[in-house]
Amino acid sequence: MSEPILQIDGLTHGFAGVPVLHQVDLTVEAGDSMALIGPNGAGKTTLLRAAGGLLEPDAGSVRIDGRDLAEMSRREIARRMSYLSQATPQVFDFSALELVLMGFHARTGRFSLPSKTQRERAHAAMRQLEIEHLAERPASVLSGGELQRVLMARTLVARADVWLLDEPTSHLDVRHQLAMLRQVGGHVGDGGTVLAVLHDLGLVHRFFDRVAVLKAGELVATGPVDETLNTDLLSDVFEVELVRGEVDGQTVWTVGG
Amino acid sequence: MTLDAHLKPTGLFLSILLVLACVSGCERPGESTGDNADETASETADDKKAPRVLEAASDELPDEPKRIVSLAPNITETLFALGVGDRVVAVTNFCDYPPEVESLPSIGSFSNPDFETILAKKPDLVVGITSGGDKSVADKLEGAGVPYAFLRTYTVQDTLEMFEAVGDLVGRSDAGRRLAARIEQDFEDVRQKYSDASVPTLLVYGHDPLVAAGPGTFGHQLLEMAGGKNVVADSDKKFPRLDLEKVLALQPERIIDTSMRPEQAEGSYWDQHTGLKAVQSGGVVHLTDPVVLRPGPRIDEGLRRIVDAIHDAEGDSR
Amino acid sequence: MTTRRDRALTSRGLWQAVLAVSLLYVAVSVMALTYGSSDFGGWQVVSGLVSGELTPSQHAIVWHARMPRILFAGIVGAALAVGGAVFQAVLRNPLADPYILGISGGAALGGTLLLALEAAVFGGAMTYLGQLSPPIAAFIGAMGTLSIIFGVARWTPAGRTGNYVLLLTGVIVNAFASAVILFLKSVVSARKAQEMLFYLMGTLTVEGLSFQLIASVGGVVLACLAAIIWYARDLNVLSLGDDEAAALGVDVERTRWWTVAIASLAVACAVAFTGLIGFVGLVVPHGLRLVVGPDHRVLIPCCALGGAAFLTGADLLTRASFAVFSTTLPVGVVTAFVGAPLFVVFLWRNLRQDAEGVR
Repeated sequence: MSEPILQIDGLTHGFAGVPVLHQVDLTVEAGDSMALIGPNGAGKTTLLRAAGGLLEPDAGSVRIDGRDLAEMSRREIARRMSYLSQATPQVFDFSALELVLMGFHARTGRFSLPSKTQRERAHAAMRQLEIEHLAERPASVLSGGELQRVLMARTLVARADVWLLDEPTSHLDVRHQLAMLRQVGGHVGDGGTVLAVLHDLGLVHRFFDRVAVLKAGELVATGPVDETLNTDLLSDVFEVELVRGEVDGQTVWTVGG
Repeated sequence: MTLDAHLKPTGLFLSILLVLACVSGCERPGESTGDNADETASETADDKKAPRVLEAASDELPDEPKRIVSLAPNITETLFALGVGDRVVAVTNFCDYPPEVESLPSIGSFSNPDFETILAKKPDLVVGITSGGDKSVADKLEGAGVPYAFLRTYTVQDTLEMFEAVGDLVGRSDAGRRLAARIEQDFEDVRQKYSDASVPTLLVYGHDPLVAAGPGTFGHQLLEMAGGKNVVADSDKKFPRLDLEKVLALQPERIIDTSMRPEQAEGSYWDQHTGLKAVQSGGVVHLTDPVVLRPGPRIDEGLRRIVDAIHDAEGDSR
Repeated sequence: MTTRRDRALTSRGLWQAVLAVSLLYVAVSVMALTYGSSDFGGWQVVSGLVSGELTPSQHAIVWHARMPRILFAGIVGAALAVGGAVFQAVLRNPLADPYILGISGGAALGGTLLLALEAAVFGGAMTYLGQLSPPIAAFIGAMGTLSIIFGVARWTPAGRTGNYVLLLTGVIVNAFASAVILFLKSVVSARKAQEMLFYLMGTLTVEGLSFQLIASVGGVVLACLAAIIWYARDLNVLSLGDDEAAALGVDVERTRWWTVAIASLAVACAVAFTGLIGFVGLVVPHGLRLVVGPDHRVLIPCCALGGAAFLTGADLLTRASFAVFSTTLPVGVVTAFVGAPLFVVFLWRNLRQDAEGVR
């Protein structure tokens, strides 16, 4: 097997004395679509941010294709990895199109202006996410779901190998959730790698091959989705009685009687 | 990385500072003309000697200036007193004597005059007094090649010499000397008359804060000439600030209030301080006419007002 | 004029906007050269300049009374407007002004301290530096403030991001500086206090500065502007948030410190000579953003030219109003009177556009 695309070793981190992650070892192979699940406060976002090089961990390392993130420039990292998080309120009224075009930042020069090709690709990405009609709208008037899709369009445009997604389905209705995750599936199908934080276990079964389970800052299980997720594990992790069901061939989890 | 980011801007700022410092060293000459003039001139012939009160002047001064701009009320009065009022083309907002100056165009305040307006008057001499802003005004005039002179008028002696200096500047040296001599004689008469008197007096310029005339100031000298004894004569400041406690400790017999508050009825500020001897005995005098504070040709009248204030407790009604 | 219809920046859009603002600046400058506080104005000036037949006094008025102020107003206006734009981007706050980080407090304190201690302590050094000593003191004060801010930010734990630290430090520095300045004003003589007041009110009465000095300051400010343009694209992305910007490939810390330092340098240079002229750094970037958009690649150059035009125009009004008030107005008064209504117009226009755009 070749080098794993993303290798996290002994990751330990805390904020202001409060430990958040403890000795997390995680391997993500090229082409994996991995879901990161766990209760609130388990450290999922922190882990994802560390994976993206957005924070300097107290201990441990993150390597992409064998190279330590700490030794790479932000531009290099951005070319290999895209990080998609919760959409924050926009301070300036950049249009949706302008936001999507920012996805090209790591690949273009300092004094470059958006080219025709870039615009076309941006429009295509927005079409895929059904937001092309919003191209000229200022971001400040977009709804949460629309903005979330704008950010996904930006991720599409950046053409990075590895996608780190923090709750990509938030703010989205069911139809758009499915559309969003189909994009994710499409990326994996094209040879990309995805590590995503998700809450909806049904979606995890439907769209992801592998899963990593985090509890109280520690990785308690990793592996293929169907094998790894079982009642005992999940009930223990989420501290709620969870039962598994099959509906229409899809696995769902729900709270037990 | 943070250390690096910290050092770089500091380095940048230091090098910019260095550049600016070097540039400043290449400033035009003509900065301390006044000092040079004072030093080098003392050796030359008497009538070429730069007066002590001439703080700054351009190198070339006309013998008989025909278009004079005055930058101070006392200069304006002096120019008119020397008979060259018809050659004055512009004055400041604050110039109010003699009445003719009301019709003259103004160049603004004397600390911040409008440069373009000065230039538009095409002056061949600009005369002012040393104050906060004169350095920058002098620089501007120097740059534009306009002859200028700035005089110091902080003390009585300065004022007498100023009359002569202005006289020399405008080609009326005799008139200048006569004016100085006359005023000096008036002073001497007053001094003689009141040489035995010693009325504890406080001369006050303003209320908030309470600022008094300290040693070495114009007001102090007038006081002492008029037979008063300045109660703050031993202060180490020229314009000491007092609080009520201090005044109570000093207990002057006379308080001469020169703050300009035309609206305020006589004594209304001081009335509240009944602990003061001067207030109880009606020894508070208000003098609000600027003639008292202006080191110019009417200074003998100013002195007379102070004499009246000290000895007869007579002041202005306004 | 570029509309905001096709919002994303094109090469043509960029040059259109820059050209438009340049023309505005040229127009305002010509007017500023043509009019002043005296009667010498209008066509007379233009024809006189072109034909070269100016009387000595007319020549003096144009070159010694008006020109230095026009040049300096342009330099200062550009520095303040670009400084404001940069701080608004870095602090993610459209209401930031170039003084928010304490630069103004530091500069004012430096200049005031010098005035207060002048005769007492620095007598000798003063004569050497001559008329430059207040500006240099102010400059040192401004950059000293910056060092404090850098230092404080360096020592705070990295969890809570830089912006809060920057803002709070700026507020504290400004408050502290104000307190010290008030203290100094209350203990010095009335005459010195008067000097201080003129400095703090903000003034463009810089006619006495040599063209050499004006050129040097202009050069420094121009270099700063060029450096900011270098970071223009990064500023766009930086305004999205620290994480997002980093994820998109921007070195957040480095970009933030460099742009803040360079913008502060430019503002400090300006403030050192003219005191604290308000409103330019707030209204010009904000107003221009409503017209040319938030993309800093076009916003920064337009701010430089727009700020220059704005302050040159304000200075023109200051000089022209002399005839009415018979005294020199502080230019800060004019910038407020002109700036506030302009801002309201821009805002109204933008709100109307957005209302039309919403479903």
